[in-house]
Amino acid sequence: MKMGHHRWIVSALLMGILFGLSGCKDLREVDDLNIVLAIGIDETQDQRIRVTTEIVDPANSRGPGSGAGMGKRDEATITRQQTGSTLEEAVGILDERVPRRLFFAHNSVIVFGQNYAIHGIDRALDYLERNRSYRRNQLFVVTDGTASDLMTSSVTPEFYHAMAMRSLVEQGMHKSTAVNSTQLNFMKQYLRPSHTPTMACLETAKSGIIPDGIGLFDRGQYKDHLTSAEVPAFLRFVQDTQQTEITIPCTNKETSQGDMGQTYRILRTHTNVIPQIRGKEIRFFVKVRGQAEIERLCPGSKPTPQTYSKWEIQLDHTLQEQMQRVFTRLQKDDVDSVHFSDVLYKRNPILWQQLAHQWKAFFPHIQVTYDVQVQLLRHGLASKSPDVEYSPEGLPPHAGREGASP
Amino acid sequence: MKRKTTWLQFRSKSKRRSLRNHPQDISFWNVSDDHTEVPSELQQSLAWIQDEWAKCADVQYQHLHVQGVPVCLVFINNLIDQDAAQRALMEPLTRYEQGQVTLPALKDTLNALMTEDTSQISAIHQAIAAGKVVALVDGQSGALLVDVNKFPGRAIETSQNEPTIQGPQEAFIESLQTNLALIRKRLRTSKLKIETMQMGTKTNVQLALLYVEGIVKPSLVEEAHQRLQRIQIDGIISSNEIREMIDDAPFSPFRLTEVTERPDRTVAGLLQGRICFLIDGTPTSIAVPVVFVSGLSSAEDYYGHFMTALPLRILRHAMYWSSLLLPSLYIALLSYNQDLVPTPLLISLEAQHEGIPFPTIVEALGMQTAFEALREAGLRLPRTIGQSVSIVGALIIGDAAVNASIVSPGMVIVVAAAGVASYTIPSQDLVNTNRILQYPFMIVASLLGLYGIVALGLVLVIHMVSLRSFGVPYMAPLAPFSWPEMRDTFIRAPWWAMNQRPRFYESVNLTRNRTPKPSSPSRDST
Repeated sequence: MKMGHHRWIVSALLMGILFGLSGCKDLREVDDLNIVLAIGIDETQDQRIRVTTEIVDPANSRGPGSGAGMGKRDEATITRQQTGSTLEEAVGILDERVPRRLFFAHNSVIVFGQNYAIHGIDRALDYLERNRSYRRNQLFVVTDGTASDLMTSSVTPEFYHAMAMRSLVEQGMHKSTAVNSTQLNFMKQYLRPSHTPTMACLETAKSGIIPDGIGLFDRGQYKDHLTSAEVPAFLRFVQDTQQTEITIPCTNKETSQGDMGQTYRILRTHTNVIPQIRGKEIRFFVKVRGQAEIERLCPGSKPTPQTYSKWEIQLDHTLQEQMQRVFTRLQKDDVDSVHFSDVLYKRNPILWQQLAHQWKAFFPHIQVTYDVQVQLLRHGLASKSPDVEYSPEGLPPHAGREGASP
Repeated sequence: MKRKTTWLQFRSKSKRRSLRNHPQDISFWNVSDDHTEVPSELQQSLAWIQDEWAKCADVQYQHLHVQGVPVCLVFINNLIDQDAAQRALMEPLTRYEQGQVTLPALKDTLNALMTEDTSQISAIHQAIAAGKVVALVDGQSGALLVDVNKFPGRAIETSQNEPTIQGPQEAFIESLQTNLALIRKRLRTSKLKIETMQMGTKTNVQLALLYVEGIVKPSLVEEAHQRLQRIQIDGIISSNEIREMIDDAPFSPFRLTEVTERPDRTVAGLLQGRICFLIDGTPTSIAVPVVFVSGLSSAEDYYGHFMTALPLRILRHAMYWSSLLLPSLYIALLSYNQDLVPTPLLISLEAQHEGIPFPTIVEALGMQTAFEALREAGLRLPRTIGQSVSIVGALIIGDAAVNASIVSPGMVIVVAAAGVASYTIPSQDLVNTNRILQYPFMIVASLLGLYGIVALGLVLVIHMVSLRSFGVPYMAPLAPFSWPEMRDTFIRAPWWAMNQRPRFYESVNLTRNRTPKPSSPSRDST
């Protein structure tokens, strides 16, 4: 046979393989899809699993007919529910009963209802990790109510519940009042020695969905939740924080408005947790360093080097107290959400292997030493409270700083 | 016996092979092969000429007597300069008083004109076709050929197809002599060699082969000679005939010769070590060898600041691949790989596609074909109407099609964006290549999604790297990679930094420039 014939045969074979391997098998036109944006998972009274899905309604979303930004906000999505004995069964039945195929690749939020979370979300983790349709950057959220309630609350001005929930959690992350609980991050925490992941928490209010701190998990079970006010103190144990606010009551007795507070913006903090092992005793040393600036001074306050030092000490004490309060609560719940066990594992793996099975008994009795130092920065043009310049006689303000500010 | 070729013959494979091996002789067209001597009797000479030029109404026979000797002037009326013929030919002949009328004596008399004498009848036919006046004298063997030709043609105009804002504006015209002058005035050196030859046995068009001796690789000139000698054709109407007949890969969608209508670009090519062909009657020059990246560089890159060339060239490279792949990527993303589209965009695309009765591939093929039809209509129609058709097509028909839910707005945007991207490509050859290649990419995307685009893309890249133009790899300097050539590939380095000619043209003299890097004068010197 001539070489030319060989070439034709090889080319035909290659083309056949090329087209035969996957030709048109996976074809699914975009308008044949039901784009799922959020999934809610609840456990009913009779221990069945109820799945709530938020599906894009293309006719009412921001399409060409409605023009840019002219879609009907209330009708941009449709919500469908299905109950099954397991999560995957409920999803499977839902897929059969909804016209068009469910498309999960764009699912961005999974909401766990309280009841389901208390009984353990680890039932869903394998399915969510294994199924190729889901992305690992989807956000895990827990709610103290039901997921279906959360997914039917108002989300104005957002169009989609999923986008609104993501947006709320991301805003909280920027102000250190929420945690990044994407599936990937959650699984990383879940697989750490401490086995105590955390999850962003959202609640339903009259105005719609609101952020509500974080949920604490022991293994896969929902144990407790910290409010948004407590989250910065908690996060100072485990990560760098930024842009948190703290208000300390004024102590200035000369002013009639002594009940007002002095507000600080803590720009950033960095924490080192160091295990201190002395024989059988294990203590933890928590060293926090940070920078803050004054957001609002107490009336009549004059910033001087002395007052700055005093305020810094006051701020350090307050931050330490907040952290102690949170840690005491965690010890009471016996949930090592501050990941001290991870720190110990990294520092002394052999010791951790000995302690691993007793850690639950060990954690509530751990002693912690704090060293919190936050530096107050002198930013801005206004160095003193404006009413310092007030005098009943109407005297002119002092020229220059005159030592009023360092 | 003259063979009659019918379509039935092409049914038989053996017949086809026989025709390929024994092509029909086309030399019967050739008027220049008659080596018969011109007789001394005027009437016999004229009879031969009239026999050859029978039924040619434009051939004029001017009979006159010079000192009683019959003389006949034969010429094509429309090809000669009437004023020059009257002033420098007719008047001296009518006032001829220098004794015996012989061809040498006439030649001396007509010393204001370019003249040559010939003894062959074939030369006479060629001269008549070339617009010369043939003077035949009774009793004299041979003829005098007087050059008073003036071919009709237009004046030099600005470049329409490769315009630049800065830099020279002149473009080639249909006259070879003018085009050669445009090059010679830019390359004032004896090293610019111009070799001419006749092309087309019927058209007898003059082709000029240009190169700069001492720069060009000698074997490249030899290769060009060999390829030109292989050409046996009756007529050359445009440069494309030559391009297709000297091509390295005739079935490739990529052209392995480059055409330009700019003399400055031609000269730049000659100085790089390339060779150029100019053909009489064609307002473009052909340059070889050619590389892919030269199709994406514009003359403007060299006339503007080198820093502006960087983003513009990168933009053109991006636009080239966009124009090729944008429609197919859109099809793949909407039909197979929706997970790769950002969520808000996918929702918007889904909403746009809602109610469209066709699958994305049908929509895309329809839109693309409509766009090509509009483009073709715009070109074929007179310019003023063509613009109107484009506007009507783009705005009104596009908008109406969207409103009628025949196509989605996203598809209109993608096809229009691909079209606009193609307009940024300086080389019309690459634009046309993309127009061809878009369709296989779209079809493969509709069958296999991104996998198909990647597979066909690999085939395309393999094909591109396998191409050679006159021995130079088409994808040079990217494959094979050459770091020094990057100075004039994605970026255009300043002139003082481009001190060498491109290595892939294998010039015998690589040094182009020895200018040192400019520096501000030191304080001491001021």
